[in-house]
Amino acid sequence: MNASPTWRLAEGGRIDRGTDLRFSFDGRAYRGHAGDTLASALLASGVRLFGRSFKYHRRRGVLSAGPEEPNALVELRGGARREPNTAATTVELFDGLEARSQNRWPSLSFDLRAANQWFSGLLGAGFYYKTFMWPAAFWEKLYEPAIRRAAGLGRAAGLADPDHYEKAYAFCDVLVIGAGPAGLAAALAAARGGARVWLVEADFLAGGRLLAEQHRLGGRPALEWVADALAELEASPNVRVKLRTTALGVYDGGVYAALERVADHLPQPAPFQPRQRLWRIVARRCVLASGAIEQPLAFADNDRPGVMLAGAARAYANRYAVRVARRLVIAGHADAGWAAARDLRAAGVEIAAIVDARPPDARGKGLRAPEGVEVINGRPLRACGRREVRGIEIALADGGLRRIDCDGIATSAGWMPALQLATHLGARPRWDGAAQCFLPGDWPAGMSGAGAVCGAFGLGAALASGANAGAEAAVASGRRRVDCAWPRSEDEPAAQAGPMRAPAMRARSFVDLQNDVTDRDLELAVREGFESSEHAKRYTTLGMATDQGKTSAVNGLAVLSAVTGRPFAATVSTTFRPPCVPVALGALAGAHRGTHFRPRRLTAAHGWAEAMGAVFIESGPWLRAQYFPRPGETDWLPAVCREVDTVRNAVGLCDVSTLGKIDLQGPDALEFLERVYANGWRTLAVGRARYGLMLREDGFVLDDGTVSRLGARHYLLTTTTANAASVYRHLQYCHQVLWPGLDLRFAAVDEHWSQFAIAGPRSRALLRAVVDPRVDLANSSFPYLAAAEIALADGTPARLFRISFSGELAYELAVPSGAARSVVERLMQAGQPLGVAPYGLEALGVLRIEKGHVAGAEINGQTTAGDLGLERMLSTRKDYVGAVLARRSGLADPSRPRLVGLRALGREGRLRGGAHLFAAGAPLEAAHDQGYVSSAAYSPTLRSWIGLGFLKGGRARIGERVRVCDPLRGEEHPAEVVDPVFVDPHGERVHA
Amino acid sequence: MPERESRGPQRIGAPGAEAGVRIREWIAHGVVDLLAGHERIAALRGAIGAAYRIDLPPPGRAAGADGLQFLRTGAQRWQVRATRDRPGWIAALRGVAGDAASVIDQSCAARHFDVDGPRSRDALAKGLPIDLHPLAFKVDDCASTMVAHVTVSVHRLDDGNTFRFGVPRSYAGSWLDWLYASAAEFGCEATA
Repeated sequence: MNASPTWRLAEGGRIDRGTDLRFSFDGRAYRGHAGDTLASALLASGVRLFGRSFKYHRRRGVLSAGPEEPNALVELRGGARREPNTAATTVELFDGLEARSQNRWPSLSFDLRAANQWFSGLLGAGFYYKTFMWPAAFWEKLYEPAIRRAAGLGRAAGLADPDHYEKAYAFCDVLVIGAGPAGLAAALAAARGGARVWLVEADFLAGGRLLAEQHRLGGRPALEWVADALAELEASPNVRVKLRTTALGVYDGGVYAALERVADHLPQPAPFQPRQRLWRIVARRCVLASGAIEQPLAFADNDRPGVMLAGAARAYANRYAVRVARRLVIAGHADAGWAAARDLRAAGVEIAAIVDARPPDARGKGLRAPEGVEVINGRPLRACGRREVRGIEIALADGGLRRIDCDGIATSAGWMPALQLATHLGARPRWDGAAQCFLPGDWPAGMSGAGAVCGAFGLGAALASGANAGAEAAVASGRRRVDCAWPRSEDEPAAQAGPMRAPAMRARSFVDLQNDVTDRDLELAVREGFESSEHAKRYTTLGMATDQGKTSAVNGLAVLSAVTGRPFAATVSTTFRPPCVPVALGALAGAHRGTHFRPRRLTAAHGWAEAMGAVFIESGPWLRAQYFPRPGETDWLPAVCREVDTVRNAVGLCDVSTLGKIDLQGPDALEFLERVYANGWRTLAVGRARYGLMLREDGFVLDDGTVSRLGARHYLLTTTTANAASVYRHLQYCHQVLWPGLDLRFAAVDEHWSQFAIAGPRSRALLRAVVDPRVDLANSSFPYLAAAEIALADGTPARLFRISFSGELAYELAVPSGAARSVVERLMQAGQPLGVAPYGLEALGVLRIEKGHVAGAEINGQTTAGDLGLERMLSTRKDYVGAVLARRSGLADPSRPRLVGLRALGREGRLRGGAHLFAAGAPLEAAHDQGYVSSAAYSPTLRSWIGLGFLKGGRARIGERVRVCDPLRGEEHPAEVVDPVFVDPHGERVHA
Repeated sequence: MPERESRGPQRIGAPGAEAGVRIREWIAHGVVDLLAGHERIAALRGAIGAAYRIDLPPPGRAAGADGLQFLRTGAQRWQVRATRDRPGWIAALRGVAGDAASVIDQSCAARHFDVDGPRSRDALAKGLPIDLHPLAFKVDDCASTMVAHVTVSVHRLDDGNTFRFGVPRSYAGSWLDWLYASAAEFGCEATA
């Protein structure tokens, strides 16, 4: 059965009464209208209880009508789209919306955890620092898990989000934040001056407080002016108006973040529509017209459902045509409350009284109560009623006490500028005695304010300041100044007194409704020495909930001021950090999730490897062939062993295009090589290649690779796959910063050239079949470490290097990537009679470990040339990057673990990377740790597990038996220390 | 991001009479990096000017003549793309540059995609961190920037929001996934 909207006014409001929307709350069906929020539609149906509070599980209603809402947080939707902790005051109603209350059990109206209130003495500010300290062992096992289970509000879906999210960039001359009167005026002024304008507004309607109040501009309803302004802006080609878009953060350099809720107001996004879009807006100037937030009063039991901000009650009446109470008391110390009384009475709400703490002479000039409404000089003491508001007790200014029956209390402790964004770069708000509110302190560079955020609370003042700020922003961004005539407005009195602390009562007075922080918590914080606002904030969690203290920070300062005796003007406001409203993680991730988390690189011959049935593995951003299983090979090991055997006994083909390749040219290229590599290059002849070792400036090894001399002033450098980018960056740094005077030029050519290793005793025969017949491949003409620019038989240009990572007779053939697939297919075809087989990353690893070649596992940023057994490569005849620091005593220490080979002993013996090495008989303690296994593989050639590792004493211990311990996997095996070159130690095969 | 099934001509995303974004692969007739030597820019400028009747463009600009497009890609570097078949042009350029610059063949290093359509800028804004408004990024403006974690070059070809992207070959598939996902909302016609 649907609840009937008995609280809806018969007419008025910015809702579409012709459009009925069905929705549910806690399983019960309701109806609302287009233009409603979830909060307004529920209030229209008479719902007053929206949720339970964070700590004490107290009954809570709606406090506000906007994003500052601390109480009415709900769960929306269901299944994978379930989302927690959304303020019902910001949820645009749609047909079929499912909403639920949260943080209650078993039900919203009967919540057993409300018993927490009985133990409030144990749960006060900072309780977790002191209450649950004994016995210490209980903390980890009992207290912390229990507190964690009780903490939090709503539940996340726990399923993958079915919607997609985007990030986008925007650029403009003037960003205007807020489409209230000041923001609209600023946007119009800037746009008329020719500026590219972005206007963002969190609400789904433009107009700001004009939607919630009743004003006239130039003799007609103000909302007509809003419609005209919006129409002009939307028709302007240099303006983008973004509703449902919240400015979240301000960053250095004129950068702003904003979240556009593209499809939050729909049951689910339309096809191809993102759910939300996170904008990074770069603006020359920004006009902040974020308005102001009304502050509540803190008094005993001020959290009862039925206690609401006066401006919110006014918004529900004027914008949503909802009566929030039958008989209402307005309480506070601001003229704004009186204006609310007028509108609410016009909406049929009985105003029982206006309770104003200010003496009559401190109120705004011309302030008049609606006829027949009693005005009481006093302050609210306590909200009466156990489940919801039934009345109010008032402390009269003359010392008396009075109770008034009512079913609603609307409070106004004055409006505070919504200046959160103005503090994101660190500026603290300053107290303005004249306006009785905090105003932005130093504005962030490029930002100015307009309207209520600057204390211009009246409509006329807001329009004028907006127009001026917009025009100035246009000029500052290089456009024209256009001054326009603005319609006249009749401003309401807007005087207000600063925040006051309520009289102390036995019942709790809530300062921060969302985090359940009371005035007594703040007193306690001061007693315990946390007197500064920043300390008290962190100790009590005041203002640290998702609402960031928008309705609590100022009242908190008032309590601190009263407790410490410091004048309020001397209290220091806390600052705010982005994002100023909660943001879904999906929006921060954008489109980059799942396989798109980062881009994937494919070699030019990837399709060939796919066609060959390769199993692929991620290797950094690359997707590389791991092995090429054949029918019957159900596991990786037989395939890898076969591939290794093929290379050792016939010929194998491997795509090594992922290696970094840098083309270096110029008169000073040789000098540059001398300076960046640890070994010398002066004797490298044209047509020859050499192994090279690069150190970092700190003396550790950066990378290894080869350098081939292709011409008198032309070299080709290769790097490891993993370090391709970092070596290129390092070389750029060396050239551009260290030695800009050297005449050399280099470019990364990894993408242009694809490269294949052709390895094995039959590799020469295979190559013969594809290269230009005029290329002489004889060992004497093209020996080990030869390099040449050649052509293939079909004329394709190529580069040929006789280098070997496998330890076999081997070549690397580079061809332009456009020809890569056809060349590798030709090689496969030509190699059939020779028994050719492709091999992948696993076999490559086995082959290089068998040959004792170091790779990324050994060149891991922590090893020196000496550790790697490469100290002979460190030239003593020249200076080079890293030369000085490589001689540091710690790096030259002979007791450092050095590279050795390891061979597992016994039939079950196995080695794994990361295992630790201990001397036989030594206890397994860190003090006796003598090194570790860096790489391990099963060697089909040696028919046992072998590995490379770093061991104290290094090769002097060859022949010794060590313990290889892998505590992570609970394994231990004995191994023999051997020479790291397991296969062909004299290098006869590579020279064959 | 949705996975695409094929790279052939296809209509992606929202249906509609006119696609908001069109993507076509453009095939260059050769691409090189032209790298000036130390203090040799003036000499190179003279040599190129004499041979091709073109002033080497300043940073952020491109200039074309006689089937060659020169894009300034760094302090001392240009990328030169042949826009029509000109056999032997790379060797000829090497001869013109002489000692003043090195010419490094990059013909297979990148794939090029022309993106246009009435919503091309809106789609590109979902990853391109530079301002493509015609007041800020004019015809023959060019830049090198990161889009979807990939370093690409972008060159504005005309007033009609046509942009040419150079994407490293190994990243091109991943990058197109991003582009298609970004364009899907506006309806996308792809020949790439």
